[in-house]
Amino acid sequence: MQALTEPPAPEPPSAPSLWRVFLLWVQVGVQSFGGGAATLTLIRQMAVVREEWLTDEQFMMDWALCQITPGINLIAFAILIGRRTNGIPGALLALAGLLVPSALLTIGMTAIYRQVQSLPVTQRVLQGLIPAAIGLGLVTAYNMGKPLTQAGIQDGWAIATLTILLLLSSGAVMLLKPAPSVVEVLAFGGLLFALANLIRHRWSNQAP
Amino acid sequence: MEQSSPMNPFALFLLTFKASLLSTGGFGNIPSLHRDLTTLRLVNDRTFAEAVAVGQVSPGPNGLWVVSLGYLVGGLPGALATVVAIAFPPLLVLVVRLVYRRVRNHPFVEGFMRGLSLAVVGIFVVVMWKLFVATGIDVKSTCVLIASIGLGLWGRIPVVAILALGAIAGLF
Repeated sequence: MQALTEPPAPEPPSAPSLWRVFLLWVQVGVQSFGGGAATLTLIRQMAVVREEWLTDEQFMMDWALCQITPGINLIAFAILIGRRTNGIPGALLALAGLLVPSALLTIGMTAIYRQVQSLPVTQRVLQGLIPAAIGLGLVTAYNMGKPLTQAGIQDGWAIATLTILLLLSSGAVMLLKPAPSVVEVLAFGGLLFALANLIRHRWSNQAP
Repeated sequence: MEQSSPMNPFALFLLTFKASLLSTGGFGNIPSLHRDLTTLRLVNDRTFAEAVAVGQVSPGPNGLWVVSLGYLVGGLPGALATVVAIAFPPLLVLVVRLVYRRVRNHPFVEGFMRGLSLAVVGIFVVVMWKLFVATGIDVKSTCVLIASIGLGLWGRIPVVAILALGAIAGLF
């Protein structure tokens, strides 16, 4: 009620309708293949350039937060941007818009795959498709590991050595039979580096 | 193809939810799900690899491969269970946003996040290797693997085009 008497505040452009938020995220969802840089560009075009929902700086900050959030980064990103424009309803509709239609399309694709699975031609396609998908998966692993390794190298030889050892050993233990549980290995890696980082900070604080 | 009866959707929900909650990124949940489902013999490496491949070809954010997996092991109920399971963990970003500003510079948090991510990468590579072995290693599959890594690292070609090239290579 009070807003009627207040001068127009210099706030970002008025909130889009929830329906529009939903539709725009549907578009992002069904247009993105394999996530990654192409999808980020798509989202930036929509949210920063066209709709002016947030600035480039906010875009990068939100994206960084999504890197440390559980689950699919892009969905978390949609949730954050949806929250910026329309609060919690916006967050939920952005989530639904990005996830539901593309998940239904994925179900459809898998159902079709099921039907043609046993055809010789499908099997031949898979003999090329699976290695390509795995190769792209390994590229993802490289892109995840690269900044971590660079950060390790910047932190001196001790952390750098620990980084390489953890990378190699966490993979190697999964080849053991029986392999340890994934959660155990992840927790071990996390605690190892938490302690190493505490020690490093204490040490560098005492150094002249 | 899996010969066993369709998997209980609720169990699939729980395993997917756990794996997604304890990892980040669309593929971060691969190690945990792979281990749980193959140890319980609910899925073999081959079907797992198919799910990753079909998921990659389908539109949507990275990580919907889980939905393909859900469909292959549990039919439509299984697929829907995985959709619900992957919808919730990203909502934690709203909590992360509030907490992060306060603790991001704490050495313990910073170190823990880094160690956890490193372990994810290490395990991830081994899982990818297992899936590759399960498809059958020959000259062609090895060439496609190396080419897709090279093109992926180069980054100038859309992911979907690399997958299409792989599929075409498979035909010949």
